[in-house]
Amino acid sequence: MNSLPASDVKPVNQTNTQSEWVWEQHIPTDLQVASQVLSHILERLQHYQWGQRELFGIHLALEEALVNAMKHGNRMDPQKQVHLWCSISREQFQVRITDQGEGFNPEEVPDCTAPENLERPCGRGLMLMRNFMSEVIYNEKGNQVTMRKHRSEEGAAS
Amino acid sequence: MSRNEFFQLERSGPATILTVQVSRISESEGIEQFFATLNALVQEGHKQLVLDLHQVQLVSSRALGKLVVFQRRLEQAGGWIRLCRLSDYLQELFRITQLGKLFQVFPDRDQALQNAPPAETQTLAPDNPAS
Repeated sequence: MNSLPASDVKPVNQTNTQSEWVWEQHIPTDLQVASQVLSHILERLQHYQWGQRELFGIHLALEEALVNAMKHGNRMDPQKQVHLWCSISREQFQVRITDQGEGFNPEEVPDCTAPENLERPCGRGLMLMRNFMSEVIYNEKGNQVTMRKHRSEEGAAS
Repeated sequence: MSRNEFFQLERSGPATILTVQVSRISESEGIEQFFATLNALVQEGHKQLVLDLHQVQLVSSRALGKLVVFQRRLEQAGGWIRLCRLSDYLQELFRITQLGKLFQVFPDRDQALQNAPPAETQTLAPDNPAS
């Protein structure tokens, strides 16, 4: 991974074949590094010819999940890390993000589209993740999210 | 016309058109500075704002939340904000989040300005500055 400083990100595993790219990293709790990780993954999605509409959705969902892990999970503690596992092929995008926090119950997040909640500043991230990804699954503790996106016909790059 | 990192400023009568210069308004791209700059502009007297988003590709959920709070405080201070030139994707984002009900969204600057209320009727409320 050329764009990330070696001191910030410790590569665990990377597999790059014509049909699938798999990447595993320990990422420091640092929003600038999160931005670099996002850009790197988006570059790989473009390499596998994902279309602009689906890139937008994945970008949004991944940003939400990474920032949630750092801000709400690790509470921006620089001593804590986020573990990221990502797999990209032409047909499917998968990512698993694990923080070192206490976890949370996603069922307790209020519906931000309800009229009484519309003006609340928080609570839209999880809804956007669910809207733009095919699957969003949390572990029991609530400190790990796995997201999958299956490419649709219209998602193919034109 | 003046420039800074986040906005290009243009005056149009009493209104200020702010063209957002960044492609992402999100936590990982300095969201705090973005809104601090926006609030500073309000403090300088730019209280009637048209936010031109045509260069923006992504707005995170937290940025949407901050925009909701910004608009509420700006209105309390006697100002207003209108959004224009959203990409198809951003329009979808506003539909999904139902925020199209809270914000006034226009296809272009002219329509945003034409629908602006007269400036002289605004009463500023110094006890409730947008911040």
